[in-house]
Amino acid sequence: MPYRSAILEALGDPTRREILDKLRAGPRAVGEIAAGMTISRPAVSQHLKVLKESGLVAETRAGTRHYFAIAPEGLGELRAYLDELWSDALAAFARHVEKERPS
Amino acid sequence: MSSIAAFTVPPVEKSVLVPCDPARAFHAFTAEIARWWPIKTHSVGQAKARTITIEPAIGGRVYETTEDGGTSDWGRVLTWSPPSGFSMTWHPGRASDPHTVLELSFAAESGATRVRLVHRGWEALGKDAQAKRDDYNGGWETIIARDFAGHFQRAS
Repeated sequence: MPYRSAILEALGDPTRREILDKLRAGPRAVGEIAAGMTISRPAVSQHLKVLKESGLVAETRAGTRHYFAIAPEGLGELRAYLDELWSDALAAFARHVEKERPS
Repeated sequence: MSSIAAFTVPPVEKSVLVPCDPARAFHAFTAEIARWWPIKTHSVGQAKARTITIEPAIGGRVYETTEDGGTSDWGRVLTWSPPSGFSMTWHPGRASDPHTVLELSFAAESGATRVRLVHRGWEALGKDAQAKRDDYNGGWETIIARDFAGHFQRAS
């Protein structure tokens, strides 16, 4: 299970968001992802590595070719964590107000 | 897949209805935060954390104090408009940049107060990620994330 900090870092880079946008249409090989981008293919590979480590992207192999695809559960985990954090805090706040309510 | 429309992290939005007027809700949220915030789990110092302070003015510090008297900044007040709301930068346990932004609003609703929380700007955390990585990993959000992850693994 990736830490959410890795997901946040992965999403923080505009190039990585551009790569994720390309993958929304379906799995792509590195060359297809790099086509039309202003950065080098090794740089794209490096970004894909970060995305993989964050859990947002998964790599699959078909014969000798490597494909990259979105792993949607990555974002779901991040949302679940943030929701939990603020749900806990607001619930504690509401309990405090109830308790201090003038009778 | 339709729920993942764009690869930005959307703001987290939460709200709660509390049985008092907005002035009371604003005061309870800010001046009394040390009395309700789950400080043992949601703080930099965890078990050593003792209190939280929100300095009530634009530019005011938001920080926790530990049992040894040390302090840890959580953010700075950006806007301060009691009783309707306030906003602050949010970087608990980390340097002030990059930071996310927390917005709170308090509005009368059916004789009670609707408290809305919006936490946005998550993309900022990734900027200069390499330089900030160590700093970020010390943050308590990461500690909670780890605990939460552990919970998930046990549950599945």
